[in-house]
Amino acid sequence: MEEYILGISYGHHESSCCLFSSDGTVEYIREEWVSRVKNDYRFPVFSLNYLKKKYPDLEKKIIAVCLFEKPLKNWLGIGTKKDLSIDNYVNKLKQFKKSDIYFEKHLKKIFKKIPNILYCPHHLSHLYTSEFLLKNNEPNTLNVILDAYGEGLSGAIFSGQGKKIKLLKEFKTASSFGILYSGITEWCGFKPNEDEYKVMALAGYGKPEFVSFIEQNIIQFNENNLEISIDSNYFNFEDSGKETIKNSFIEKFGALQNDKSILEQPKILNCICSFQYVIENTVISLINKLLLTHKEITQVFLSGGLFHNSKLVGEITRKIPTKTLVSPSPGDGGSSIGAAYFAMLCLNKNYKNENNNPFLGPKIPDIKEHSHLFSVLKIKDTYSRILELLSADESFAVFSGYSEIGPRALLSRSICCNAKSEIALERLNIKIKKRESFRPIAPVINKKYLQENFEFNENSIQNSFWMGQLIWPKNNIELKDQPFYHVDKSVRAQVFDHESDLHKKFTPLILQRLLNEGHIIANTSLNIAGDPMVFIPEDLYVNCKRLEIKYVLQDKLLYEVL
Amino acid sequence: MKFKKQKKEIELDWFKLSFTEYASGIEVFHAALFFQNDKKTQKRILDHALDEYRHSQYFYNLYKEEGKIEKISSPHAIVNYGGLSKSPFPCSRDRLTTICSYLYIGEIRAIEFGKKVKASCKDKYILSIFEIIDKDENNHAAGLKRFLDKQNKFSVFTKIKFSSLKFYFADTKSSGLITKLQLKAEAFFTRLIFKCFPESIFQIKSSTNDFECVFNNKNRMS
Repeated sequence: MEEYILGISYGHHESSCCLFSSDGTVEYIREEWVSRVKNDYRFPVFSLNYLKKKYPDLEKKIIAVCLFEKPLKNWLGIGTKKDLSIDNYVNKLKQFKKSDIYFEKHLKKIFKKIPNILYCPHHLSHLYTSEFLLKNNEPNTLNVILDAYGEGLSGAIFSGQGKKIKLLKEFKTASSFGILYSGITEWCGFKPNEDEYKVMALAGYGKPEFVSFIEQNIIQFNENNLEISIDSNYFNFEDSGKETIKNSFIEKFGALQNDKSILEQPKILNCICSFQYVIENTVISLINKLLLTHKEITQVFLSGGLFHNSKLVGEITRKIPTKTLVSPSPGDGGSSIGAAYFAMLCLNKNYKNENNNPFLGPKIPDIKEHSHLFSVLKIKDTYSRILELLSADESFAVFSGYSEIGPRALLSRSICCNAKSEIALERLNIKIKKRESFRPIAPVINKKYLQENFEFNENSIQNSFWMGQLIWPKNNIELKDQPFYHVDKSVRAQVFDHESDLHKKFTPLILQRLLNEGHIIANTSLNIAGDPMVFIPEDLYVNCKRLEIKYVLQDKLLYEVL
Repeated sequence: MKFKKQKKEIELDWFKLSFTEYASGIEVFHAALFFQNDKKTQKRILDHALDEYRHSQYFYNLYKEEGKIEKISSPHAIVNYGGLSKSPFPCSRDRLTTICSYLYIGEIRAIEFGKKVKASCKDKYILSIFEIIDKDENNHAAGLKRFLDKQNKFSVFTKIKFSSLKFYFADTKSSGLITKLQLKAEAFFTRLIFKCFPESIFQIKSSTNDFECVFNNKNRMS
């Protein structure tokens, strides 16, 4: 008889659900896609209702629901020490009321009969998400998990696979690179836990002039016990009633001047660049040391929110020859997949699970049926029309195939233009997406172009299938007329491999043809800055209108937005 | 920025206004999804949502022009600051009258607010923005009224009264003495709780992270 296991993550950043079916079907859904609140952290009511509607027998056949963390342990894990500020304690009590400790109560609003409830440890959810998405059957895997915090920890390192895992190291919240990076994000005038990618882009503009100061005074790595220590005189990790950045930090690195663009403030840029550099060095040293002491390890999996940082992943894969992979959704948003997988292991179930890929979201609905919002263009050859749009520096939306699970658009829900045209890129970045000028746009390149122009680690190239890492050009490559390079010459390219089953199955045919013919397409997510990615045709209409995009490609047809 | 108007003071918090409009855009968008079979109406409602998003952008631009930094992350701003936490979504189509009554009262309140601003503000640019918004809000209110007029009059009457009361209490609660007292009491009792219990209760010992027995402890919250 068919049965289901459901994984849920919520309360931190992006809530999500993942449904495993005994017939091998896997369906992942992010709450923000349905609720339309970017980074929606609430209990995923919209997603669960969506799943209930799509699978009418869900309630009858569900055998377990698994939360991605141990909620009580998580609540107790931070901000409960004595002598913290009163605001911290008030926040803690408020968090208790709203936290996932009430998971069962929340579930009762959706399911009349509560199934078996399981709780997966936070960092294991990350581990199992990677294991599932990267199809891991290799027992000699090193799992490095680093994030902001979860259950009193900011990271953990395990070796092994499946049920045979061994804890090698855990990191307390006081050594959290995630919280440190969020603090710097806030110090730069951006939203913490949200805009970290902007800080990563800015790191390319600075010089690493504070590296030795930071390594001597703020961040230290002890190779003997693998301990990372961060000086608490500069950062506050525990007290939610106070700022993360302390006065000593401001005294050393200054404060942002609001009347000036951040690009005109070299000290800030140098500070960002230096912290990025030290974090990269520390994580690389940590992995190298682990590989030295555990010679049996054949591959490294990276997960946790810190590894959203594609520059960090790029530097790791550049400097460590061992196969090192990051999952397409390394943050808490993807953890519902790991939670469902954990439940499957706990219950000794052996579902087929052959659908391990970054396109586990629902099938994108046909927009043909929404003739009041879109009209199909009556043209003989869609491919030629797309070529015309590219050469005219125009952008078009792609809404085709299956929804991507991660934060990056992978040509299912994307906005595309000619990546070789400076005018098209500027138009897309500034006018259409309304992004900051310092953020580069990712190109999609084919494997041949990659091999000819870039230095890369062949063992870890899979990361570039979902834009998980930066790559850098070969030394002799002329960068003229290649406006998709970032200021530090890095590129967060999506690599298209025409021989890969993943790309054959999930990339729209017209785009496959374009890429096979050597075109380079700029690819950014189909949403206005600050909004979730589009999910249904009604979203598509609202977003296209707001973005002033006229054309949408779906399968082999091009539509006009009415 | 504050403007005097008779005894009451109107506070133009651009950040809050931006997120209130943004939250309205989301609410109206969800309402549009109930009209899958009436394509013409659905398009009109989606265009209404687009107006709300546009208004949000006007206010956000004004906020940014003041050179301020956002201290609240966007989901928290939309849910709490923008008031989405109080909206009747998600819900089923049979609650359509409740939803439209709620949206209608929201529009009426926006029109009233616009009038107060126009009576007290002197800034031409701000006035021009409120002029555009006022026109849109009147259109939206008229559209919602047309829909509500076709429904059961008693049902609409009670739902409108209920929504008005809900908004009234939300307003008085956020600025009133009750909130201040509530905050003081919360702080006092929290301090008491955290001071009274021994610290060991809250400590997580590293040995508890025993991942080897994790499969046996699968049903435990800690």
